Amino acid sequence: MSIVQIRKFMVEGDGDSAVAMVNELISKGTPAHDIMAGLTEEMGILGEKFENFEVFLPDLMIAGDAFMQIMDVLKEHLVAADSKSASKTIIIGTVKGDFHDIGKNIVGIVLQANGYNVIDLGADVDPVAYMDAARKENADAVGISALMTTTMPGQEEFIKLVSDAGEKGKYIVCVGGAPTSAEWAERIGADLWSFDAFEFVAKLKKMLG
Amino acid sequence: MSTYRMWEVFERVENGPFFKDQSEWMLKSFIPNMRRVVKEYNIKYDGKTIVNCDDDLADRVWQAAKDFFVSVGVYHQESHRVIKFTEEEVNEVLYTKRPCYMIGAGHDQRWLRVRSVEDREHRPFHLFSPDANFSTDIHKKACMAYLKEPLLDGLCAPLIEDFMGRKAMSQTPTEVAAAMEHAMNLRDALRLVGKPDVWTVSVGTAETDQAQIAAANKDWGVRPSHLDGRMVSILTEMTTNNAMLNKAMHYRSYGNVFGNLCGAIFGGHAGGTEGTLVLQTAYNIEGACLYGSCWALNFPFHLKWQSTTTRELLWLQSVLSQAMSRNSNQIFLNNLFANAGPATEQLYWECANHAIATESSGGNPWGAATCRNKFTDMATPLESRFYHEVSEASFHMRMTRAQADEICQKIMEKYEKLIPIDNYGKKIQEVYDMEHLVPRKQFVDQYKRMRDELNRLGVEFAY
Repeated sequence: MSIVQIRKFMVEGDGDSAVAMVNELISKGTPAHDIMAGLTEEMGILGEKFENFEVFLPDLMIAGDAFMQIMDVLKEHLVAADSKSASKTIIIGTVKGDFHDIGKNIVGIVLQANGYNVIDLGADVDPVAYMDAARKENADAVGISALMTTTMPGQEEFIKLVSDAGEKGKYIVCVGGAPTSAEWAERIGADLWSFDAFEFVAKLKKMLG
Repeated sequence: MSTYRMWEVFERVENGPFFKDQSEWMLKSFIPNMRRVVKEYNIKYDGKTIVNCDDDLADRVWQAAKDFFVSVGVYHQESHRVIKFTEEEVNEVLYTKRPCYMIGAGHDQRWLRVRSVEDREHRPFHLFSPDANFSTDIHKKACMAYLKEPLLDGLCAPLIEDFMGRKAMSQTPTEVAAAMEHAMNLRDALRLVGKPDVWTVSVGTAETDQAQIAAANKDWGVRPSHLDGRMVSILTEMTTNNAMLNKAMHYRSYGNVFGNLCGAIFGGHAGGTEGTLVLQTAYNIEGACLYGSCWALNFPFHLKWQSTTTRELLWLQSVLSQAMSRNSNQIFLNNLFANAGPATEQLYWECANHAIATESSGGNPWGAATCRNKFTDMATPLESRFYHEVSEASFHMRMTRAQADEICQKIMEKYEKLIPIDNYGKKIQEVYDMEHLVPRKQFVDQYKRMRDELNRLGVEFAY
């Protein structure tokens, strides 16, 4: 019975066994943030392997699902202030008219693995819904994904909406997706564009401090 | 869905097994079933081969794909229900699938058909398509430039970027109008080039169902008379929605010979090369059963590079093509998405490898899309010419799969290390004289040099 074993259960997607062991360790005095640190490290390792195509999205999803199951138990034992990034909230979604969500999902998993609070609005999201969520959650960043050239303008529409509402600069606006580019992000006034999920999280970390 | 079964299928949209969201279905059904079939049917990739020579593997992949499709079904995003098909239904659809269509008209009429592995009888069907956005002011001219290509059997025209100064945006009047302008430009271009009856696949600018319907017009738009092609997508992964079903319904009733646009993502939900191969094969079955599509356009692509020309993806398309050709009557084409852009040597190498790997395996070339499909005006007919000439050469010399693999390995050495580099090349306005619609001399010289280099590697061009 150890954190190493919990990490193994998480990677295998065995959330039930991991949760049982977490409860046992905590009852015997293991600090929750030690377990959390171990899990975050393991998710980081998995993320690196995913980036190098040594593991694939199903591995990440299965571990991510178990990670969230464990977090449900751990969170009551964790003091929010313990985790620097836990206080950062990121809203993500795929732009209006676009039902492709794989890129957005990967970003969500990698963000969670790095300890961010992720609010996933799903696919085909209206710009107003992003703004409402950002206000409600007091978001630190909003990430908008698009996979079609004809849905990319939805990213611009959101940025215009934020500017018109006088809320530009209140949170970081990030755009991404296969047909987007750094040039496109600059043209529409986005704060952040990245090639993939890992670059996204690295850049976001830098910007959020 | 076969037309006569359309409403029985739709009944399953309302009453199929319920999963509250797609992730739940992925974790409980898709991922475990994919892992099971890859193991059960012993699907393995050695990490080196580009053109598969193992017939038994191709047949196992086909069986795994059928098993997977029957086990998992299709997730409907709006009803959150899974549309499932029985094995008997799948067998019926596959048995009754039509293996060839006479498409286009007049001098430009062609057979679009199933080919066999190492086909000695039927030349490939050459579908030219840049799969890229073009500026509105050059769109018609670009269509004409592509239509001038001698090997062209069909054209899927570039997309229009803007309408009246506004970027064409999905679900808005700009998209509907741009889709109509796209269709009009294409019809004008067909007449102006003197190929009025070429088969076209239209209209890529129309992402939504309503824009597709708006572009259907026998006088100025998509024609039922020529059995023009249309496309309906399978969404990522094994997913559909009402807009896609609307498109299929419209295409059927309008009389189109329409295709199923499907691209499994390598590194995505299906996992590595083996899972992505099974999924891509299953997509071809899904399109026939769910939409009643007449053909499929396969573009399994790399999660990181968004291209189809990496080693594992060429192998995947080689096995996929053989699995399909050996086990079904389904017509399919193979979509090239290159990493590099126009006027780069890398792009020519990528075009050559995709053409050779797919032709010898029974595929049909569709291309050429460049620069990871990211930029406006970044494609030209010149690389498409090269791509289709190489495919034709492979057929002309009756290249075997073993020969193809040998040549593909040599070509891969030329560009594999360059894939991560952004090598986006030049815009069509730089490569082409857009007034006369001919490539500029320096780029024709480059194209000829690349033909010579390929010839030295063993490719004998037909002319």
